[in-house]
Amino acid sequence: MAAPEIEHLIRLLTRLPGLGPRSARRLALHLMRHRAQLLDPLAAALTEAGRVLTECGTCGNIDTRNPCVVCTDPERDAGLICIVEDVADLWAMERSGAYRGCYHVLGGTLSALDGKGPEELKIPILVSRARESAREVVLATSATVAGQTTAHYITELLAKAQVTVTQIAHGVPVGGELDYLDDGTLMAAMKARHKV
Amino acid sequence: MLAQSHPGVGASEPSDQQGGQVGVRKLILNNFRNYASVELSVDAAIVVLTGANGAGKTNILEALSFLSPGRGLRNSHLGEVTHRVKQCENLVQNSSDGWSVRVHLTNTNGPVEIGTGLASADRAKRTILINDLPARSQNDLANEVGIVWMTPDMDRLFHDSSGQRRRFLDRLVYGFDTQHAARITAYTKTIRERARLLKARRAGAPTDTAWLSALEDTAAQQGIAVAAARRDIIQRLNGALGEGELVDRQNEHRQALPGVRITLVGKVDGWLESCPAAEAEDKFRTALELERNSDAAAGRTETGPHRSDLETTHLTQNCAAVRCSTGEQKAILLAMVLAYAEILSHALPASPIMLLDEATAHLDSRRRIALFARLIAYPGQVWMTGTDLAPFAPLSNSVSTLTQISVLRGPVLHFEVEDGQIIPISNP
Repeated sequence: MAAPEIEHLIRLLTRLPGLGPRSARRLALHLMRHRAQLLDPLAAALTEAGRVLTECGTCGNIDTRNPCVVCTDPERDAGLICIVEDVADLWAMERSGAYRGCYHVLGGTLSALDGKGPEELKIPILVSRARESAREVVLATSATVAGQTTAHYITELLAKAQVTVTQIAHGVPVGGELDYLDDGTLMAAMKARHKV
Repeated sequence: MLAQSHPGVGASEPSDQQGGQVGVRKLILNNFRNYASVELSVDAAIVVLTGANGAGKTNILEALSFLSPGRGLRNSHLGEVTHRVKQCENLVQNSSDGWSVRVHLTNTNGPVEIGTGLASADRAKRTILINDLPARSQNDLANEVGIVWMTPDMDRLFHDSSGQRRRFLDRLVYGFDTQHAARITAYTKTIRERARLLKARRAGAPTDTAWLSALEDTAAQQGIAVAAARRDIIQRLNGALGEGELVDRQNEHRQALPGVRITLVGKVDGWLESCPAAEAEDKFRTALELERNSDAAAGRTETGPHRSDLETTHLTQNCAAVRCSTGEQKAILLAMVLAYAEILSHALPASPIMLLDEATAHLDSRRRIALFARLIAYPGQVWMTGTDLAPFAPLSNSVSTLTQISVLRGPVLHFEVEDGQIIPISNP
């Protein structure tokens, strides 16, 4: 039986993704044992993050300013908008270094059953942005049924705007062997073959 | 491999070949249904379990059905499977609340040990170990062994709702196409989303036609893929059912099971019949778009693979299965299950294990003998149950009764099941 403050900490930790009660207890204990090196700096970092974090009103990225670092970077091509489902996808794109344009973070996919409509995904903002300043919109939603339905929807909306809509390729991963691929991936790869 | 010998039957087959055959060699159950703990060694091509009602024959088949992905032949909630012990008047679950099935089997790669079970009753998923290593997914089981079953529940197939028949057909497709379940889920969810939007529109919400057409596009893609997979399996089944007619005209036993033709009836299936898949997809998409208003008014989606129905015809009598007698229906079902096992044999490295629960019920002696002849000729292992020993007599004295069958493949093993106990019976 721990003090109520510690129980409270454990309960909050349990709510983090991937943590069950057992790992939450272990984490809490570890934090308390390393108070100077971990607990105090972490608490300070969390407080600071809570104070400054905000969502970018332009693209939906999470940053400390609005508009975010990506949207205000003069080195970036503002005529290119890449559509991703989540901030984690934006980070993945940035890690790859493959892209030097701007983003639109949907924050999920269209789902009538979960009450996630175009408004929730900030799609009206995207459409006006695309009309005003974009040359090309790159669809980089997941290759899932929901991701592709959302991509289809955005394509249809942008059909009237003077903008090129492209989609990242689906198929064989780099370093992947054909033998290990499922039929659906192989079919997509074959469909998207290009002249060399 | 052959520990026991069964005099009279199977003497014509070299024993090492029998040992090398794909099939279950040992079955160990713990806390499973009415078995606290039981171990069963089998070295036979055909295993017959007899016993009184409620003795636990089907439980053995159910245990084996857990060697395939899913919830087994009873489609049970996994927690229900746990052994129950009698305490006073109430049935109380055993203290540990988990259950396990452990099987030693031989497949084309050699001996394999598969363990599956529930660690405790509150777990949602069962654990699967293949050669003591945890399986990545239930689909890994399909790489080790194929399982085909028939239960008395299926007797109602022809009288049930079309939904039940579609589910029956879809289960057959899963054996060939592990992606089929995912496609059905995606299709169903998309159709529900479209229905939700249509309902909101009917209630006066502004219409987002782009959203509707995005959903209809997905529904058309997934729906046609579902219909095409079903069509593929039906063509194969009809091939196997028809081949039997042609090849075995002289074979009285094969003919004793009726000729059967299966058709899938529905608007989408008609399109796939008459035009390429891409065109059928366009037609389906257009139909969904045109039917938005009528679907909204009716509160359901009128067109799609979720409206298809399976029609089965008894060819010899040229009669729809639903109008056939109970015995004829059982024979039709058996012919379908045997055809399915046959086409699955071509797709898998080895013939699937067949689990036939009460298969001889409603069959006359001519049909029974025809069934046994087919099972003896079947290259995979067969497990059967029945209440009485007598109907299985032709199997045990098959040398005299089934003289037309040239070679007997292996021994028939017979067990009597009695309230959580399994007793081997030596063949006469």
